[in-house]
Amino acid sequence: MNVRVASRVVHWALLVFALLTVVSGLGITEYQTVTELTFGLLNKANANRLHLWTWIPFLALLVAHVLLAARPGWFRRRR
Amino acid sequence: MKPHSIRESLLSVAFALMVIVVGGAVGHPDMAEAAPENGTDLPAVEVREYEGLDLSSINDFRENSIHGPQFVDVSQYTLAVTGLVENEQSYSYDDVVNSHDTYRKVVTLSCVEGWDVTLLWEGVLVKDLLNEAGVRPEATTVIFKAEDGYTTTLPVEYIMDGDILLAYRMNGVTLPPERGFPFQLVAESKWGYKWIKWVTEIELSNNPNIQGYWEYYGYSQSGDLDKPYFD
Repeated sequence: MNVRVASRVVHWALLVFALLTVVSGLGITEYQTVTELTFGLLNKANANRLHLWTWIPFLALLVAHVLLAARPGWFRRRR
Repeated sequence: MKPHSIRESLLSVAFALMVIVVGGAVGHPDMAEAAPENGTDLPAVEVREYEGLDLSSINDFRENSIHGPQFVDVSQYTLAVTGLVENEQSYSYDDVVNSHDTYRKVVTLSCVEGWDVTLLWEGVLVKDLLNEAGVRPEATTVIFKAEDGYTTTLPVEYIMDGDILLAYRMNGVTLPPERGFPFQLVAESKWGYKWIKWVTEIELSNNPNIQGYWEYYGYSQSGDLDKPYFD
């Protein structure tokens, strides 16, 4: 896959997972407010499940994002 | 602006700040009030070390109750023991505190949110209350109910075989309303959602599948600390 396309996918996916991680974290610690704002959809238990699941892809995407953003020359040389 | 006038301005600002700080300190009751003339009871100070163990503070909790802190009127309060018992009981706060043996132990509360606190808990044994009521043989489950509608369940054996406290003091201080006054269950070796606060009723049941508030949303029925908190 083209490195530029891969970078774009990784960056956008990271944004999505960063938001999911933050929102689910708030859904745990500030669950009274978040549960009300989401009409009960993101209650504490759902937020907790989501948070347990998002942190692995979030970390993987963060590493990929940093590599792709910080080392463009590294990928360019190997094309 | 000339350099000396800048310096003067800065000095003026610093002086003004000093006046505000000193004035505020003098005006602050904690810092400036004279000692009472005839002796006055001061608020209890929490214990932070017990038998060589460092304790957390009673302020180290996160407020995560379902409807916020409950302010229970102790003059109206009753603790009921109901359900599958020989004699249903109803205790006032003083009945529980003054007519039963007191026990204390250091126990750590671990919350599913990721924080924990280690405190000195002091209270009565739940099994002492259940023994007074007389648990019927078919009872398998203890349902704890709270002032705010929160509920949780535990097996009868867990309560009767262990020294499970119904605490009314933490770190030597009477439970504040935010921490569960008048009573909080010290469900040691269980996740924090089993540590029900503001307990008003203990009901005995023969249905082991009854779910408490968070158990209904998928948290583990057993709540065992050495297992995942989702079933």
